[in-house]
Amino acid sequence: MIDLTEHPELADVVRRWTADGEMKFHWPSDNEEAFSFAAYYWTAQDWDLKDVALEAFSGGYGMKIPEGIQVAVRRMSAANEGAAFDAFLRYWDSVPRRNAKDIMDSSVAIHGVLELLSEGIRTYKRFALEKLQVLEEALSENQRWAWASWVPFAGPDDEEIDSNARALIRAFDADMATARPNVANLASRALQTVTKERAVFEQIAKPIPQNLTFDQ
Amino acid sequence: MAPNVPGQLVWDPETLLMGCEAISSAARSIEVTTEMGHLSWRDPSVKQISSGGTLEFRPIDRPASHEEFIAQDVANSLHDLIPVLTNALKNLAQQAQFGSDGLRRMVQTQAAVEDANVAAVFGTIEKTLDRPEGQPS
Repeated sequence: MIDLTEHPELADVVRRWTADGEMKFHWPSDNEEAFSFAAYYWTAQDWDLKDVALEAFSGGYGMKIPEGIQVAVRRMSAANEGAAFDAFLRYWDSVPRRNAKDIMDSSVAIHGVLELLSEGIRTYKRFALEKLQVLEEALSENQRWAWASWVPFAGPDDEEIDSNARALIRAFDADMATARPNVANLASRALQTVTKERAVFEQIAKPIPQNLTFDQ
Repeated sequence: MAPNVPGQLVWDPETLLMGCEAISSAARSIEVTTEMGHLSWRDPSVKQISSGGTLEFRPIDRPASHEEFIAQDVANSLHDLIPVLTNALKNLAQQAQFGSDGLRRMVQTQAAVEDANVAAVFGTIEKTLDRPEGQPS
């Protein structure tokens, strides 16, 4: 994770000037690695779902899985006939297969927005560090004259130094304010997607009546 | 494989058993993914997996005064989604298992006697579990 605490001199600038109130920027503490880690697992466990959804799939390390439910259904269909088998096919298609497919599609959607969000946070943090570095150097340069402020006409006085510093902070803030909407939009899009897909999972998660059974 | 004439009642135990077992195995695998915290890996609140294999969760704390969270709502909503996903997958495993159970009953009984009964049970289960069209998906 890109972490401000690894750049103590930049952290000091943010801490000092946000406390002062001049700096509107706040360091984004979101963990971009946690989002990309989670994104990976939103699709990594899909093999069995693909099997139930009757989709072709490969196993780990790209291994082709020769047998699966898809093959079994094809062979059963070629060798069986009658109301019971037809009812099985209809049931399979409209319940487990459909649900597996919907869970997969929802997972892929969530995977996608989390990947984008993770990358967006990373990009925003890198941009912030870059701009903070430039700001920190400019502030040090500005501050360089402070020692001489008691010598008449030796350089800018305290008031001027402070006002220059504030101008630098405002310019930095303006840069950050143009960059932040990108990541904020990715976050709100991710939230919308999670909310939308949650409705799908909720439907499939409804309790199954206990009297449904093939047991005799 | 038995020859298949359309319209004729034929149950072929060999292929039915193959289907029954393939489905049952997938159902069991899906059930396993809902156990042992595997699904928590989809939760970005997970901070890290320690050497003991246990998951550590990032406390949902306030950022320091010079910090902000831009995507905390996303992390929270995913954290809350895991139990719903768990139940959805458990149900899917059970729904798949119903398919396997029906095929197994066909393997174990006579077509002429049971065809209508098995069809009726599948019909009932389908009707109960089918989601109405037009629902979000």
